[in-house]
Amino acid sequence: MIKKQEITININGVDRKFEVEPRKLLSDVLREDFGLTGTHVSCEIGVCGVCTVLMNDKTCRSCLTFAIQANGAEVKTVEYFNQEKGLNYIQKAFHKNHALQCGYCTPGFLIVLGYLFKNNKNPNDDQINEALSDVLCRCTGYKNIFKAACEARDSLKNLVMEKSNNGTKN
Amino acid sequence: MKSAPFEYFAPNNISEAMSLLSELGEEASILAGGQSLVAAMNVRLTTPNSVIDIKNIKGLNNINIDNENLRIGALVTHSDIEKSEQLKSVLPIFSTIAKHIAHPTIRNRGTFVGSLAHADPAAEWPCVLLGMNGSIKANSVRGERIIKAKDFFQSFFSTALETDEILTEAIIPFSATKISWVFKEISKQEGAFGIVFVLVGVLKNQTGLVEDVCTIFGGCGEVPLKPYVNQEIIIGKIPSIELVELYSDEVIKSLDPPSDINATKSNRIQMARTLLMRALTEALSL
Repeated sequence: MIKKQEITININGVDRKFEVEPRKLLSDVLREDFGLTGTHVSCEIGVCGVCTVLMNDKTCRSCLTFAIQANGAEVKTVEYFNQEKGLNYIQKAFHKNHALQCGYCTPGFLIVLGYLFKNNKNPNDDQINEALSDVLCRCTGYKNIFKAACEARDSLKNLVMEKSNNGTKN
Repeated sequence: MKSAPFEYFAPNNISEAMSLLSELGEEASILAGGQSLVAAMNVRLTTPNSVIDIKNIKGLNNINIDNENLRIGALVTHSDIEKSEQLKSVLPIFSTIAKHIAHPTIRNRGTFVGSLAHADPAAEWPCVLLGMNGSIKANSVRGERIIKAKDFFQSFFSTALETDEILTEAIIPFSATKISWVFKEISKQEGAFGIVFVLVGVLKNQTGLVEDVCTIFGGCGEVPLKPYVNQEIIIGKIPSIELVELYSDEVIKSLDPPSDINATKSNRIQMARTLLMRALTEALSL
């Protein structure tokens, strides 16, 4: 048996120090050791995207990353969204547009869209599609997911505008 | 299925990594982005006893451009390349090609040099290295050596790298920036592995005649292919659609691609011809 090693990962804003076997995937650590089951696991070869998380603010397949590789990194999962009050603007758009059926892929989509909008406040349709290509959905199809993503973009634009209006008033 | 057990090392500098590798030899794998290696380990296609993660080694995540060469370090990711303004200003083709590699999330982790070391015949970067007459730098406790792309790629997933060597850098001669490059690929869907792809480089002289042409195919054999063709049929000629057809027909004669689950040999030849014609037409601004 290979010896476990002690590592520290900042998960959703909290430093977690723990021992891990080198071969344990980040996805399994998140789910099994920290109960963060919002990160889903499906293909485990990096294709489907449902295990996508943020590592140091960049999207990352947690099934293609051994937890030990994340030693010293900041990891954010879909549960990070719930630290805000209620649903965020992307989740609201998914809810409103019926952008999920079984919901298995949804955490992946929420993460990749959050990443897209963080780096691009007004992505065009092609850029949205490119981001969505990262994750596979096998039930609703992508039409409603695309609609929800576009609506999230529009509400983000309003949010940004509101913020800047408030800024000028002050 | 999960990966077989392995010991994990994350050395802080290259000399530590080299001594570890020289000790562990072929039992060890070098890990950078892990977008191919970890997938292969997850399904136990590969079961290294040790993994040497090079993420903490400083100086490997840079793109350096000078008058002679363009150097890409072993930790530079596909997304770094896609977004590098410095690279876009001299060789915009790099950004275009990066976008053909998998999806944004994979590009955030996967590395250029890792793709060379992996030597998948369906990967884009090996074609680029060969097409641009590039080379790689390999380091080991025995010293450093530079291996030219044409000698580096040997067969499916196999290269001239020795078991104690770490690929630290890819080197592209600056002369590649003088050439107009066009890349075309056919894949089942965006982000999937290319079935056939072609990289074409064209140099025209001041009067608009063809001075040099270089063609590299991916997905048509065990390694990236630079088909042999009598260059006299195109060099010094006035660019035209007829010339493109003539040259493309001549080039594909030398192809002998495999048949597999993705495409038959004749499909591949047809795709190669179509892609080459499109690429040449664009590269010659016809």
